[in-house]
Amino acid sequence: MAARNSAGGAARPGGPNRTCQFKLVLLGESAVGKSSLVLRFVKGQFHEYQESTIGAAFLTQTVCLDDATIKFEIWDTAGQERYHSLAPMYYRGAQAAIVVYDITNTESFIKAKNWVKELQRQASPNIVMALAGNKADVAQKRTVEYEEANAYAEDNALLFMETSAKTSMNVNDIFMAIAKKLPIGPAQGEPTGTVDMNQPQQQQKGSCCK
Amino acid sequence: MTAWHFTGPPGSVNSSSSVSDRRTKEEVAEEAMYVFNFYPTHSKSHKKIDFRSDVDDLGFMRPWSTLEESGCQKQYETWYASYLPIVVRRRCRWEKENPRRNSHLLQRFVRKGIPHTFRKELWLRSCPSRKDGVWQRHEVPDEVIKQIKLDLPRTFPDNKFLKTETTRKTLGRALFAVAEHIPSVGYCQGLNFVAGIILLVVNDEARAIDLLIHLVSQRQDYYGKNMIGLRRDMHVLHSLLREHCPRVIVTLEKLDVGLDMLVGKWFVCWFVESLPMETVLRLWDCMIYEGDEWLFKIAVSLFRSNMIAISSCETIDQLMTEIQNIGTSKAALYCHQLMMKSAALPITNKSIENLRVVAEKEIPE
Repeated sequence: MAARNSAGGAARPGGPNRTCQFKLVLLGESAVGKSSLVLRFVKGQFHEYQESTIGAAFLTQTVCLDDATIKFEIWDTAGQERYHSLAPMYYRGAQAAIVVYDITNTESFIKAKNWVKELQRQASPNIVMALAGNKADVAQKRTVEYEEANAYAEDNALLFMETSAKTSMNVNDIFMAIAKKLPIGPAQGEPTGTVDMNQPQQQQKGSCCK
Repeated sequence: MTAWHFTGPPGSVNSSSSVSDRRTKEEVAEEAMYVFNFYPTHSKSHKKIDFRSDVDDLGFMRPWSTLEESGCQKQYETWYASYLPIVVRRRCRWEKENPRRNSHLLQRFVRKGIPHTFRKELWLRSCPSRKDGVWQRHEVPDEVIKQIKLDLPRTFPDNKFLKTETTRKTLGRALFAVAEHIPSVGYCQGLNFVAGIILLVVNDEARAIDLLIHLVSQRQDYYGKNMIGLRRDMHVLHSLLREHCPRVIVTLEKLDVGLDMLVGKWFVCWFVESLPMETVLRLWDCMIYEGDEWLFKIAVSLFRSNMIAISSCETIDQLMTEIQNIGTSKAALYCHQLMMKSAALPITNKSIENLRVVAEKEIPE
């Protein structure tokens, strides 16, 4: 868990500080941990039994990069197959997506690949996609090998991390990695300089935006 | 944000002592206990209900146990002080006039709230029994069973009753029965919450399952493949809002966001998890007795009551915050007033049917 840094860098004197908002969607099979990843990232919490998400949930979280503030507008979607027909409106116009699977559930990995295919076909062409192999804390029950998922991610130019919403392993990191890849500002330039991967602002709903 | 789950009296009933000069505080408390307690048999062993208990009669955490916001308990107590006399009066009227035998009276009485002692009976009033063979049984695919199992511990995980293994198994049997009798639905996420509430209120497994199947079978297209019914009804709601609060529609169009994204859950779960529990129960009284028009009446009412806040939103973020705040808004909490306002809206089952016909032509397969 990253140390809470409420000062953030919200109004760093001197340096340029743009605020950019990005729509991020989470997709993946039911019960792989989409809501748990978001809850960990946004509130730093974890519930062993997270209520099933109906439709979708909406949350925001702000992270500060070296020269910009990134505000994620996160749409956490329902995982069940029949809610699939509602998914396009959530990924429509999204600049980022995290496709989640459960490393102990091979089927969920297959489903994740289908989501990636659908996004490649239907989502905005510049969408930044990440693949998250969640539940890394129960690696002893693993059925999806790291190497396999990593190779798949490389082939498809996806960011890839194994995560654990329970232990918070790689949770902030995957969001930060996405933030780094997002085009900030009209110049479309990559952020320059070093990026502090460990200091997303916790529980600062929209405070340094606007 | 989770909506408040609560029924029954708050931490103190002192504030209600002004209800009637004839009653002592203890009598009012007793009355409240009788009116609200869903499990009268339990109350015999505990002569006095602990009003300071963190859990209400349906087994949900009381609002101040789950919400961090200050002022929440105060707001709840203020509401409750105004609501208790209404509930007590309604129960007296039900006992005196017995509207159950007079269909002219019954609709009006149901709209003003079914006292909990009659709620189960009224909810089950026109519900057929599986024993009568109304529904056939079909084989349930393994995949469906797997999905149901996955969601059992994810259904009101903090509810005192539903977190026990026994009640979870009952919930599993209820959802399995839906899959068995309505194969076009199988299992759809959201039904777990609906089933949970029915089980808690009816408190009789066999009849609760009958009611669940009865209500879901009337709304099969909501929960079937592609959820066509839900998408159709979002179009219907859009038309109604255009008529009854056009400023909301202007905002939605400006921000390019669909009603499905905002309030789909309201309709999938019949407002469970989105509104305070007492409000949900009052709405269900009418929905079960009169039909789907009530889902729309309440939705339109809520939008109207929160119209200024919603229509002044300039970003999706602000809009979503306002939508999520509806669940804890004054309009949502003051259920009696909400029901009365909604009843007055010119939205009927007939007008809904007409709008549905139009909407069906507009939605893509």
